[in-house]
Amino acid sequence: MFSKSTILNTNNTFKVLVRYKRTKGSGEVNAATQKIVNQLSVLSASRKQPKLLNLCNEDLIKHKTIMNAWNLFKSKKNLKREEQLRKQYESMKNAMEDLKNTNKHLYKLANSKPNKKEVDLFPIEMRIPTDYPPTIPWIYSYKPRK
Amino acid sequence: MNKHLSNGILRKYSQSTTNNIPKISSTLILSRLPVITTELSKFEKLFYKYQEELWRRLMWTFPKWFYFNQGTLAELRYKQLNKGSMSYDPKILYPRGIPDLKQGRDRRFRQYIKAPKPYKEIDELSQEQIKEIEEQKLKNNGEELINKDDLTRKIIPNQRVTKADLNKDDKSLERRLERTLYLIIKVNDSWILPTFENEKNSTSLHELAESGLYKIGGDKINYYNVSRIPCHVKESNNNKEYFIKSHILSGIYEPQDKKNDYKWLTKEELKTYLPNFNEIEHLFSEV
Amino acid sequence: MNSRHFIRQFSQTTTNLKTGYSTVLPVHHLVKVEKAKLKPCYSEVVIPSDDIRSNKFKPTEIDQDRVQDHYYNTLESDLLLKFYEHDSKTIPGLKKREWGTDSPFKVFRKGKRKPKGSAIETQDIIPINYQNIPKLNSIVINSYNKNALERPWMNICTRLQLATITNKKPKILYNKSNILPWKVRRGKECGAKVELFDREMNQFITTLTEIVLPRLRAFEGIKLTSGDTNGNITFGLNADDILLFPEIENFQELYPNLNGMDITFKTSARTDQQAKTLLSSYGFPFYKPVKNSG
Repeated sequence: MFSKSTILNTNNTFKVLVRYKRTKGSGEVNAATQKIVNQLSVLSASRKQPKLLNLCNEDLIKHKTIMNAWNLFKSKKNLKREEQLRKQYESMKNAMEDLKNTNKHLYKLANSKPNKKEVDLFPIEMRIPTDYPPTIPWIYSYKPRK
Repeated sequence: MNKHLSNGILRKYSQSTTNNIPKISSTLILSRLPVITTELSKFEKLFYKYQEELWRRLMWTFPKWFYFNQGTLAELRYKQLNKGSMSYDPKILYPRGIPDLKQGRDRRFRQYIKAPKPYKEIDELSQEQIKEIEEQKLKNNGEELINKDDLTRKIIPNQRVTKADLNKDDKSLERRLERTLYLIIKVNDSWILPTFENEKNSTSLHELAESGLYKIGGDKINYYNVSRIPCHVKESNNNKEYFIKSHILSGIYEPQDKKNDYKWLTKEELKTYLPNFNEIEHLFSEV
Repeated sequence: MNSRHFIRQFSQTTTNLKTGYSTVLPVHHLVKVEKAKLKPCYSEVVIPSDDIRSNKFKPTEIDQDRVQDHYYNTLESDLLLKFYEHDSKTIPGLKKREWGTDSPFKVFRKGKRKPKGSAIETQDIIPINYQNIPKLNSIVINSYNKNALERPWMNICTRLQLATITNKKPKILYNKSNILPWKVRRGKECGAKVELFDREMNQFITTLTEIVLPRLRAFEGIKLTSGDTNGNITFGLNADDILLFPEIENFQELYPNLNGMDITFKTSARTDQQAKTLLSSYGFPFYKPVKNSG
């Protein structure tokens, strides 16, 4: 009914009503609050989740076959590893038993742990392997401590 | 009956201790640990690729509005690189199905994001720039000029195959970086793991192995003994060899006697050198 | 008719801690019903989360896990050799005791008496063999934010910080008790925590040992005195240290209110010594703190 601006004529005084841009309740918040809202929206899943995979039967069978093959591959690898560990354990136990019967003194030296409160740490130079070698693959200039 | 049995055992023990005391020696398994990860088989590579694609397909949409503020130069650059997918128009026929756009991402597919790079790839360069680089290469003996202090340079990983591999130098510690290497030495024309005899039977096995190694290989070896406990015993005509496991962390093995030959070998290569390999095969790492 | 006796929640305790839970006395739902098993329209919910048809499906083995490989290839057999002790027997841990019946006051006491010489129970120490070599089970990252008690929006920053570092959605921590001088009130949000397993855990280890910790100037290592006597090691990082995480380093203005965090390594080791040896093999440095005298 009203257009953008309406002019009312009452008692010979003109009152001009103009519609300005709305300032109250327009959904705008100050910058600090907007920052928090942004942070919250990063954490939330709404409007960010992809569609479900919804595989067809053929693809589902393919996927299951791949996973079966992978699990078989992994279990074979694990069995092999465990078997090797078992062998290592047995030969170590055997060696200690043998040493005990051959030389009591050396056996005591070998079986003694360092001080109970002291921790036997690995050296920091032992690194986790990386995908690509460092520029200097091996450090030759090692000097023994004196 | 029982008494008889125990007596018999006692006699046997006493005999062995009085008549022939076995010679005890420590044998050193000195290994260089792998520096790089193992080479994957084709199956593993394909499987990881498949899983990674699934993982990326199921990722949430990248929150662009969080990292790039609206109206900034960074956002403009991001927009130039990542053109959003086309929104749905009913007049157009879509052979791959109707797009399902939300926040500029087609929810049916994986989202590809290009980040602005400080350098240019070869296919982004103009003809003149490529020419310039090639000229530089010629001047610099065929190698590309790279300023190593420049933080914006393209990072090129080092080769997994080293010079020692190409030269087939089996005395180098830089060969076969993806495998564990073991030290063997040549004594009297036969290859063995370094063995040191315990003369007075007073020093502990691991200390004997350490001092022995310094004696034959010099003291420039950063040596780490894993444990005091021997991991294997080998008996042969009144000789007992106890195996001590240890790692070389840095430094170099230099034979003190120049005649002594040595080699750093992987498990498979050891097979041809050590005569009793099958007995001790389980002590060496598969990788 | 005391409403405190029964809270209308079935499983989780954290939800009980939230403010504003219903205090209406329950008249129904006394028996837990798994609707998913009854109705065919809920059949999708029954699918296990590692099945590709489930809406929770997330592939885990997405790349070569170099930390795990390193453990299997070298560390495992080294640790076996290191921890082995010949002719050793199980050392029983400290267990809770009976109160005894020598006094009439002791007869009806609730629960058991605390173990001798310790406030908590400790595990039996079993000799190490090839089947029980200590390994890292998980890493818990816990970030308690006391500023969030007064300004709840601060907790959003903490949650986001953990989520960006670990690529996992954190759980919110709630206060458990009322302590007025500290403005601690039951049910208020006070931080977040994440538990990492497998690849995510290993990824986090390498970020710590290769990127973050070497660049901390004041960092000497994890204290040799840390540990909860049952093989779990904890150390803390300041708010300033967290700036060095690569995910946050380049976007510092986006994370204005960083919060320090405690990192706990849960291991299957039965003693702290073994757990520390295990951690040192992953490349974590340790140091002996100097006691302040006077």
